[in-house]
Amino acid sequence: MVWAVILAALSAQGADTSVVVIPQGIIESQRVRLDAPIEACEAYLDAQTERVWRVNTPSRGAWVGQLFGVELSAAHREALSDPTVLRVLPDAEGLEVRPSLAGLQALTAEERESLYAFIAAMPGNHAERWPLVFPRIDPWSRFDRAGIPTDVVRRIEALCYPFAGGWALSDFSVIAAEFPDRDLLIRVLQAASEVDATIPRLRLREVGPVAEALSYWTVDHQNAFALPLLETLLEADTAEGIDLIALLPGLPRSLVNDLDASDVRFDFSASSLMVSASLSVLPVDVLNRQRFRARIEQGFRDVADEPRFGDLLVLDQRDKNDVAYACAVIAGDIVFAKDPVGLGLWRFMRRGDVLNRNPNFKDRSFTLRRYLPPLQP
Amino acid sequence: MKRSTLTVIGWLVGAGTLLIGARLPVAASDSYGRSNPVPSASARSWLSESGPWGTMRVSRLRLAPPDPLLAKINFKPESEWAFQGKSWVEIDAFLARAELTPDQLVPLLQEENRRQSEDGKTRLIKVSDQFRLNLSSESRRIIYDELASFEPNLTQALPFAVPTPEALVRASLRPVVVDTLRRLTFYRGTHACLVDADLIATLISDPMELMRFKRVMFSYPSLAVELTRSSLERRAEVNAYWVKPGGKPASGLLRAFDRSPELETIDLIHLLPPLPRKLLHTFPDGGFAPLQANCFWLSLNFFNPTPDRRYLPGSEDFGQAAAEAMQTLQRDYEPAQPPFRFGDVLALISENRDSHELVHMVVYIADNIVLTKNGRTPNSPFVLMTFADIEQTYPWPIPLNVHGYRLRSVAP
Repeated sequence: MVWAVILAALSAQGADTSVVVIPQGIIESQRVRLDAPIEACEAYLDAQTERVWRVNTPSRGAWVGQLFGVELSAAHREALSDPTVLRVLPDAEGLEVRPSLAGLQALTAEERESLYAFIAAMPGNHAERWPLVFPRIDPWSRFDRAGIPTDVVRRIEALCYPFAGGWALSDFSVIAAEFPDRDLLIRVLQAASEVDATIPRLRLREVGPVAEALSYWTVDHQNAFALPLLETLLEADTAEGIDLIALLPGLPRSLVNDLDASDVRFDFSASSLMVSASLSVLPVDVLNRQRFRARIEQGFRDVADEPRFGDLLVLDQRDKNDVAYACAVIAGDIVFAKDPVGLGLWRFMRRGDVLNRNPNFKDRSFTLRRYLPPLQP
Repeated sequence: MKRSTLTVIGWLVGAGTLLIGARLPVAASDSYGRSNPVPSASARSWLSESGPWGTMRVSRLRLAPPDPLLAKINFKPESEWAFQGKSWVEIDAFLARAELTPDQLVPLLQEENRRQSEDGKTRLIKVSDQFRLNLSSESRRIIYDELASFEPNLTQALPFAVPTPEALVRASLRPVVVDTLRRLTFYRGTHACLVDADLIATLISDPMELMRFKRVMFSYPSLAVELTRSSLERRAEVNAYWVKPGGKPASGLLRAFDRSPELETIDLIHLLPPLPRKLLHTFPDGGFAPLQANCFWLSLNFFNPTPDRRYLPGSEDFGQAAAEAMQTLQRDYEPAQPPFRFGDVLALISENRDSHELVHMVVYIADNIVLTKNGRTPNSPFVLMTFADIEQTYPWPIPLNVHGYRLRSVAP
C-alpha cells in the first residue's frame, strides 16, 4: 500500500514536480517561479544605492598591501587606496572605503570577480557577499519580459562578472546612478529577483510508524506546536497531505516565499541563523534575544548523523567564532533557507543548490548542528 | 445583572447586519448570485464557488490540543447555578416554568441549597450530580438557556458541541460513557449541546480513556484551504481581493501560477498577513500568541505586524476586552455591507431590546470561510471555519446578529 502511494505520486509528477520519500512521509515538491515583493525591492534600492566597503585592515598601508593580492590594474589599485576614499573606523575595527562611481564603472569583469571575492570575505559588505545573480543560460530574457529598456539591460550585462557558473551583479549602485528612475530601478530589481522555488507538500498517511513521524516533524516533541495538525493528518481519510509551510513554526512560516522589507536591510548572517534555529527552538526563546543567544550557545551541538528536521547547516565565519550563514534541514535534501544571494528570498531549496549558489564560501564547508539541550537536573 | 452590555446601539445602526439565528451565514455568498453556497456539514472536501477571491479547494480537518495541554484541562464542576440581578421570587417563577417535576423542584427551593454572593447581586442554587443527571432534555434546555445570559455561567453560554457518533466510536469510549453523554445532551435549535461534561468525567477512572474523552470534546473543526489555478480566470479581481497590510494587492503568488504551468493550488496560508500566517492551525503557546489570546485579539490584529495586547481579557473581566474591541471598531473601522471582503471583521452581537452584547468576532476570509479563535483559553486553536461551523460553536440561546466592519485604511 505504501508503495502504491509512492508510485502514484511518482507517476503523477511532471517536469516541474519531484518526489522525496522518507520514512516520515512523502514530500512532493512543485517548482514555482517567484520574485521579491515590491516593498522588498524598494528597501533594497534604498539600502544598496550608496557603496561603502568595510575592510578589517588596520591601516592604509596594510590595505594597499592587500590590494596587491587582487587582480587590479595599477590605476584602479591607486584609486582605491587614495586617502580621500578611506576612513579609519573607531575602535580599531578597520577601514571604510568609498569607491568612486567612475572607478567602479571602469573595472573589467575579471577585476570585479577578483576584487569582490576579496571584499566579500569580510562581513558587512552586502552587495559583494550576497550579489544579485543570473544563470549561465538565458540570463537576460527576464528583463525583456519585464519591459526593461535594452540600454539598461546592456549595462547590467557589462557590469556582471562570472559567479557560480553564471553571472553576478554587485554594482547595482552603478545602475542606480546611471538610470536614476526609481520605478525603473524597482522593476529591474524585481526582475533580477526572479528565482525558482519549490512548494513542498507533505503526505503522511500510509508511510512509516505514526510515533516516528510525529517525533521527526516535532524535533522529538521539543517544538510541538505542529502536533495537532500532524495528528489530524495522520488520522485523515485521504492522502491529500498539506503544504509543508503549515508544519513550520511561526517565524519561518511568515517568511516562506516572501521577503519582508526590513529583512533586506539586515546582513544575511544573523537572520539566516535566527530563523533557521527557530525550527527546533521554542518561539518564546527565539523572540527574546538573550534567551536565543543562550539557546544557540548551549543547545546546538555538532553531529555526524543523518540530517533530520530542524538541524542547522552552519557555515562559520572565516577566522571568527561566528556564523556566516545557516539554513535548516527539512527532510531528504530539502532545506529551508534564505537564498544565499540576491535579495535573499526565503524558500525551500535543495541542499546542493544552497551550497553551490554562493562561491564566496567555496573553500569552507557546512557543519551539521542539532538542538540537544543539556538535560535538566 | 445580565452579561456585560454595551451601549453601542446607535452606532450599530447602519452596519451590515445579518442574523445568525436566521441561518444567513455571511450573506455575501448570496449576493454573489450563488444558489447553494454552504457545503453540507458532512462534506469532507469541496470546491468553493468562484468569486472575487478566485476558486478554493477546501478540506475539513479536526484539531485537538496536544496531550500535555489536554492533560492539564479539567472539566469545570457545574454544580452551582448563578442568577445575576434576579430576586428569589423571580427565580422561583422561572423554575416553575422549567418543566421540572414536583420532586425536582423541592431541592431547588430548599434554603440549604441557596445562597447569595457577597455583593448581594447574584443568587446561587446548589444542585447535586444526581439531580443534573435526572434532568429531562427539555428542562435542561430551558434552564441552561436562561443561565447562559448571566456572566458566571460560561459553560451554559458556550456549551460543548456533542461529537458525532462516528467521532465517539473513534474515541473508543465505554458504552456507559456514551450513554451518559446522550442522556445529558440538550438541543439549541438543531445543535446538540453538552454542559455537564464534568459528570461524565467522574465516570472515567482509566487515565487513557479520560484523555480520549477530553480529546473528542476539545477537538475543533478546521479547514485546509487552497487557491486553485482556475482563479486566474478572474485575475484582476483576485489580485485586488487578497490585499496585504496597508491595502496593497498580493499579486506575486498569482504570477507564480502564470510562470509555473504545473502548479495547481496555493495554500491559503501564503496569502494571509504575517500574524495570522504564523498562527493558523496552532494553539496559543505564549510565543507569537499569548496564552489568553481571544477572538478580539486575533480579529483586530489581523493586519497588524505587531499585535496590540489591549484586546486580551483580564483575569476576570471579559467585558473590558469587549469594550476595548468595540472602541477600536468605532475608531478605526467603518460599517461594511455584504459582500464582505478579505480582512473584514464580523462581530456576532446578541441584541435585546435594551442591550447589545458582543459575543464573538471573526475575520472574513472568502466565500463562507472565516478565521476564528473561539474562546479565550489556550485550549482552542486559531482556525479557518465555515460560518456554519461558527454557528455550531456558538449556539447562543437567542439569535445573534452579524455586523460587518472594514478597516478604514483598507477601504477604497
